[in-house]
Amino acid sequence: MSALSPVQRRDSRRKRIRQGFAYVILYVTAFLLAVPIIWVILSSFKAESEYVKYPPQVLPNPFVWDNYVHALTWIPFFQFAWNSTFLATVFSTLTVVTSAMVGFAFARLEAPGKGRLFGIVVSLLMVPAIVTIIPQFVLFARLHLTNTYWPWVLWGVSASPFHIFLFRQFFTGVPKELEDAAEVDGAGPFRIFWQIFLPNAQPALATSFILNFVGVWGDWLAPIIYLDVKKTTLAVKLATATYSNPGDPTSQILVTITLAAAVIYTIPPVVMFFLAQRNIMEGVVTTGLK
Amino acid sequence: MATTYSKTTLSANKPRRWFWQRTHTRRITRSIAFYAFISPWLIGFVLLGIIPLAVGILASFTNYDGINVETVKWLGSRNYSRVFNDSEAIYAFQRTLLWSALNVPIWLVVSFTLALILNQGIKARGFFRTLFYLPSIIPVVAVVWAWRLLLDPNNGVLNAIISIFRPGTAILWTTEYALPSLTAISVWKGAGVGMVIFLAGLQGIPRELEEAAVIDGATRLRVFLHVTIPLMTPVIFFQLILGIIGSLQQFDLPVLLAGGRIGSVPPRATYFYVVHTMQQIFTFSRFGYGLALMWLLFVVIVIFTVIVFRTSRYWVYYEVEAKGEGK
Amino acid sequence: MNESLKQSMRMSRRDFLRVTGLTVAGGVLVACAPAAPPPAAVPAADTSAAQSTPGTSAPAADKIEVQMMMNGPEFTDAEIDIFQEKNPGIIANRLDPDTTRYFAMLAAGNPPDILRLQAPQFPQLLARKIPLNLQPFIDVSELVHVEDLAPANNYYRSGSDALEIGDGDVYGMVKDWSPDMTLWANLDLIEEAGLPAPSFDEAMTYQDVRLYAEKLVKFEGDRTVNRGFDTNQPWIERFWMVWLEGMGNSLFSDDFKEMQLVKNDEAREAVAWHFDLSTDKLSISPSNPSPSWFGQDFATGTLGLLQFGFWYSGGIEVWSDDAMKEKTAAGRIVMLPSPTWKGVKRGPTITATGTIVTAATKHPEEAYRLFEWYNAEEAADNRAKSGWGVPALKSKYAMIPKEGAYRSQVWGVLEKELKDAETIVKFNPFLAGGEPGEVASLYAQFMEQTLNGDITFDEMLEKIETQTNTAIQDGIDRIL
Repeated sequence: MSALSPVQRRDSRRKRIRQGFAYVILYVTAFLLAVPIIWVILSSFKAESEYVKYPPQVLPNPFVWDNYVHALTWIPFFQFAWNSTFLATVFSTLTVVTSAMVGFAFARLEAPGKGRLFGIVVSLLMVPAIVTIIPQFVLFARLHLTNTYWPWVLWGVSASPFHIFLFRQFFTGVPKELEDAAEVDGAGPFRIFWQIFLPNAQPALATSFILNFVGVWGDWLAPIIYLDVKKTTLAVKLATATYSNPGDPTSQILVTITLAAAVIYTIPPVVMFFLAQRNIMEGVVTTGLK
Repeated sequence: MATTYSKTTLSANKPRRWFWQRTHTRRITRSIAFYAFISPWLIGFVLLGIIPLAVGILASFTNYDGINVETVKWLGSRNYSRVFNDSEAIYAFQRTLLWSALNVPIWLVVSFTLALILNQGIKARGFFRTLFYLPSIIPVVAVVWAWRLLLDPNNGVLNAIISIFRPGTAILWTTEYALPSLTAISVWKGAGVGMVIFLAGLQGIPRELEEAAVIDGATRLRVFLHVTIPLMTPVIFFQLILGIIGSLQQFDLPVLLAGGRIGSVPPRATYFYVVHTMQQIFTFSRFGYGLALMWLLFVVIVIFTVIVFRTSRYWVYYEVEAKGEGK
Repeated sequence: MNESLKQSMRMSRRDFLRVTGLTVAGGVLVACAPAAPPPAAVPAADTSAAQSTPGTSAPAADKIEVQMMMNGPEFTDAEIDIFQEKNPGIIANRLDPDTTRYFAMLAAGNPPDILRLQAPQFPQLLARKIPLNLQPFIDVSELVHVEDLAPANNYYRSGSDALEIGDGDVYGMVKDWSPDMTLWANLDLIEEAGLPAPSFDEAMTYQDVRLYAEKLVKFEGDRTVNRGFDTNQPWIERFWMVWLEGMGNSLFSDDFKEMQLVKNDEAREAVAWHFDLSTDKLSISPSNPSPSWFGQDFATGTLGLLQFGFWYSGGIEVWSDDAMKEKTAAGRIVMLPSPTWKGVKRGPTITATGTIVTAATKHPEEAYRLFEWYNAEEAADNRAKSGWGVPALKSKYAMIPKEGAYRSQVWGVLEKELKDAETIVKFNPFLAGGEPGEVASLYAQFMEQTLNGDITFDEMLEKIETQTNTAIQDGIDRIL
């Protein structure tokens, strides 16, 4: 420390100031980002009659735990949760496997036409979802596949350009030696994929699965278009907020109970994210290629 | 001993022979394997991409109502000319452009700024990065509920806070200021994603490059403008394109805020093009017309993308081998 | 690890993060990316995917399954059990009501046997020959007699075609009904505002309603503390039609092929009445939204007058907190007669939610059996006693709750309203008539910009008229 020149000392002081400033911004931003989340959690414990009162109180009084009980019992919450879980799991599993296959092929196999096909994949990244969703709906409706989970299965099976790209990038980074060694042992591309690439792609698989899962879990558009009220997902159920008292044949909105339901609904994706955030954020660094 | 020796030679030689003898066959097998591997995507692309699009294009020339095939009539280009006479469609398109012009730059600037700050050798970087990323994991339906509570004109938190200084405030965040409010929500939800991408980009910039510039006497601002920004342009470019594509087809946020049914009509300020399209399709059963609206949007998006690509050569710096030079 | 490998990994990490971010940003794209194989190529075993939804049960082979679109609370599992016990050969399967899905199933040749609908939807369905003529069944029925039908059932009767609704063969019945335009008043708020207690016998005019609303509304700065008056806006076009019919006028031309709004002074006045409530912030509107919804506002005690019909008598009991429940029981919450448009009393029923049997049903006998049971036996009794609606059969009026200060006041008003309930509105067969209907949707859509001053009231009417006419044309194209 004592060996620092005046210039260096000035620089380090500046650096400290700059860092202090940076921390202030970071904490303020963090607070702003957290406020909506905290407010929802607090409000989910308020009575419906307290929620509409003004001015809004920060802390719920009384603390209505029952909101959470009602959130789970007044609609068949678990039925919708199951629908969401089922769709998300089926779609994610299928699409992770097929995207990994396709990504592997683009990264590691050679064939005429490959370049052009990859060009299509990349350009599909740019195709707005909205262009395909209605024509697909028209088609599925005519095939009587609306109000079934088939569209998700079919979407899953046919892989997703984003994840193809993701796996392609991942597999491109795998050293050639590994594959060569396997080839020397006489393994074909399928064995190489299943026994070497797939098991070593855990970070990518986890990331891809979670992103897909979170995507379907949170998706509101596809289920609201495709599925009727019974088969739909939590996203749709909570968006239209028809939590109602038992004995109310009209199904009207009860905000605080819906908020409680929304909190429960948000837990799975957040937990998944925290479990795999090292994979999601650090991703490829730990490729398992040691 | 001798047996062992011969065994090793054998196992070393056998595959080698296999290799050389079958090179040609292997090329064909590999091609077959390649197509086998990509077949799920390829079949899907044709059946769920090409075919629906073809059907969709055909349907956009009819009065198809989504239900009855018997009453379908061929309208020629009538649906398309109708778009240009549909003042609501034009209005909605203008709002969409305005929204994109507001949302995309703010999102880029906020996420880039956050990434820059986090790149300053912040100790708790991991913590902040996770926290900032978190809103993007929260499902949009829950996000909208959260923001409704904050923005409600009558008993929302925001107006309650303002009322401390100016009693009786009832600013119509969700209608009169719907566009800025929507931008706030969208940035709140999306900034983390942008930040992570920018941060990854920033970490790819060799420290030495910036330090060298500083040693040469450049100010931090100059380094930022002349080293950091140019090196980040490919990332910015990429984000810009995705931001534009996403913004032009914005649908779920305004509709969820307006009630969350497919036919919910958002406030005027956020009556976007795709909202109008969905209204036509699902409220008025005008599938044919809705598809025509959709195709025109697609054309617009393509045009925007092409424009950005075309101009990119003037401002995007392609870091040819730049990453390796630091070593 | 060698240098190049490190290099490649770092690069791919960047791309990886990039794609990670992209994918999240892609949002909907993730779920809706273009996708896969032909239905034919799907192995049969995979049906588990479609079938694993909970709640689907296969009917026993020898029994006939009748599908009925109805909301869960309106046709409970307990009621289904009672029905099946009484009718051993039939299995009742409830589907959630969804008109789009109904049509899809109809197009597929597998329509639900019974559809839940509202009166304005019926004319178009009749024009498309979707409902089954139930008259032959009614003629021999021991439970349903034409003279016992409450007047709201006339919405489901027709002698000839979709333009002549009101009398003739029975095509459907209301499940229960309500004079939808009766008012609800919070007497405490009215007293507080220094207004005279409204009469339970004499109907207010809409002008009176407005005067009350002006006094009931309470602001604190820009904030609305109490609202004056509210009603269900998705019904608004139906109100206008009722008012105009009372004046011998109509929102539509005689053949229903054109809307008459811009040049129709009486129609303009009807629209203006409601629009002005919004301008003056007396009602919920885009410039004065509610944190909840008007039914809840009234139950919370922040809304003085509500036009929502008899059926809300059940609603307020469910949606209010304890304090409000006490107030209701004490008779401080009262129902008032439906207001009149310029003194002309008209039938105040505009929803008349009911059921029809699909003409394309494969089991007309069984479908009618369920229809009849639902509308005339246990389920109908349950509804009558619940206080959520007026029974479809006059002979069941006795079951309407009348005990206690609250219920006896409500019944007193209801009894008089029933006398005026004979007239029905003619709905436009070329419009789909959902809730909201096309006109109400367009009104909601343009109201905000008119309130903001972006367009004038006249321009708003023009837009509504033009676009309604387009919708009518769509309807004509689809029917004819």
